[in-house]
Amino acid sequence: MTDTLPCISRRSLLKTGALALPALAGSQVVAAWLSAPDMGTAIAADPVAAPPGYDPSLHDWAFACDTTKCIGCGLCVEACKLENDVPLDPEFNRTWIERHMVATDGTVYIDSPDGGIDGFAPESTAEGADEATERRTYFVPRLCMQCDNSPCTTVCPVGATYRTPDGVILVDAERCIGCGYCVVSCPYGARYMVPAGEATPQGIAGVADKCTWCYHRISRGEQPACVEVCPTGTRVFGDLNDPESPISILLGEERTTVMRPEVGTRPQVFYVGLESEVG
Amino acid sequence: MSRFEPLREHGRRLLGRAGRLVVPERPSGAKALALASVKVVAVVAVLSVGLLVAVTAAVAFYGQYGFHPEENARVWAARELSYSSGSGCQACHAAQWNTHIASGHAPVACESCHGPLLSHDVDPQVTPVLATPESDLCVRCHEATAGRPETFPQVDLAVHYKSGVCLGCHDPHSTAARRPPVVSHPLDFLPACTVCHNPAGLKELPAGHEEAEDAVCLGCHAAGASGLEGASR
Repeated sequence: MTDTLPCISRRSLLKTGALALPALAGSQVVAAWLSAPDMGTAIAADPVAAPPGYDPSLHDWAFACDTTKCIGCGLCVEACKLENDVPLDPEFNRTWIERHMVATDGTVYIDSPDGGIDGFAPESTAEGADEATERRTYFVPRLCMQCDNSPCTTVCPVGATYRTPDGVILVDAERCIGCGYCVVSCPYGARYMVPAGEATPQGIAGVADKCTWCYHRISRGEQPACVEVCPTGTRVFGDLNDPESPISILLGEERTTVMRPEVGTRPQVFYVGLESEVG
Repeated sequence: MSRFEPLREHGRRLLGRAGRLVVPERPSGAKALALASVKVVAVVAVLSVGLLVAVTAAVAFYGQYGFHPEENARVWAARELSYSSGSGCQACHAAQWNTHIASGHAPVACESCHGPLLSHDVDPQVTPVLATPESDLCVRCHEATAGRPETFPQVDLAVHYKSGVCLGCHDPHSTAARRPPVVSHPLDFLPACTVCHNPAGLKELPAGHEEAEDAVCLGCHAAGASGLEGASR
C-alpha cells in the first residue's frame, strides 16, 4: 500500500487550468491568423468582388422624393422588382407608391393598388374616398429610409442586418434566421419576409429583405433603378459628400422634411412637399 | 495487518504522536510578505493574460461565424445589373437619341419606356423587354388622374381620342403630335361628323377609328380654314 493517494490538489488544478486556458485560446488565435486569408488579396481575387476601388468610407448616400412631381406612374416599382429579383406578388415590395387624398375634415384616404406597379385609376380607390370632400391629393413614393438610428439593426438578434459605412442598411441572408423582428420594428413598413418562389433577391426564401438603394448600382457609380426610370425627377439620389451631386443640390434648394420624425429614426430619405398626416 | 491499518497510519501522520493536529510552521517576517506578494502578482498576471487571449480568441471566433458586414456588402455590390444607365443607346440609335434629348421627353430615360436594356446593350441580338411602347404605357403617365400635378400634361380619355393608337399621332421621342389631315370642308350648318362619316355614309371612317362625338374628332382633325369653326380655332 502506498502512502500517497493519486489525487490532484485544488491548487494544482487551478494552476494548470489558469495556464492551459490561455494556451488553448492562444492556439485558437494563431490558428485563426494562419487560416485567415490576407484581406487585401482576398478582395482582389474574390470572383464576386464588385467594383474594384469602391471605398464605402468615401461616400454618404442620401435620397429624396419630391411629392410635388410624382405622377404615380409606378415605373419605379416595376424597375425595382426587375432589377432586384423582388417577388412580383404585390404584397412584397421594396418600394411602392401611395396616393394620399386629404379630405376637408382632415381624414387621409390612401390607395396603393398593387403597390402602384401598374399606375393608378383616375380617382382614388380607397374605401370611403368617393364620398369624402377632397382638399388635395398627391402621390407619395415609399421606400426604406436607411435610418441613421435604425430600429431594424437594433432589434436583430443575430446581427444579420447592419449599416454600411456609406449609409445603406443591408441584410445578410446567410445570417438571417427569419425571426421577423426587423419587419415589425420598422415604423415605415419597409421590410418584408421573402416568400418561397422564383424571385428571391439573395436566392434564399424565409429571410428579411428590404431596399438596398440598389447597392450594386450605386457602388458602380450608377443611380438606383427607381431613380433611373423615374420620368419626372421625383426621385433624387446622390452623395452628400459631393456638393455637386443631385441630392446635395436639392437639399440646398428645397425645404425638406422626413417621414415620422417623432419616432427619432433620423431617416436618410428626405421629402419635398410631405404633410404631417403622412406616415 | 488489519484492513484499517493504512487508515490508522494516515491518521497518525496527520495528528502526530501528541494526538493533535500538527500545523507546519509558516515562515514569518519580511521574507514571507515578499513571497506572498510575488505569488499574488503572478496569479493576477497569469489571469490577466489569459483573459486577454480568451477575449481575442472569442472575437476571432465570432468573426468567423458571426458579424462580418464588409464581406456581405461586397456580395450585395456584386449583383448583376438589369438596367443600364442608357448612356450606350446613342451609339446605335443616334436619330432617336437626338430627337429625344431635344424634346419635352428628355428627362425620361430610355429604359423608362423600353424596359431594362443592359442585356441588349451587351449583346444587341437580345431583344429589349419592350421594343415599342404601347398605349397602356402612354396613359400610365398621361391619363388625367387625381393626384397628378396640374402642370403635368394629362388627357381625359373620355374626350381624347382613344383607340390604342397614341403613336398614330404622337411621336414618343419628340413628343410632337403628328396632326392628322385637317377638315377640308366647311363645318357650319352640318350635322354631326358621324352622320356622313360612317360605313354606310358618304365617306367611311378610316381603319382604327370608332364613332365619336364631334369634339373628339376635332380634337385631332383641325377644321379647315373655310369654316367658321376653323376660323375660330
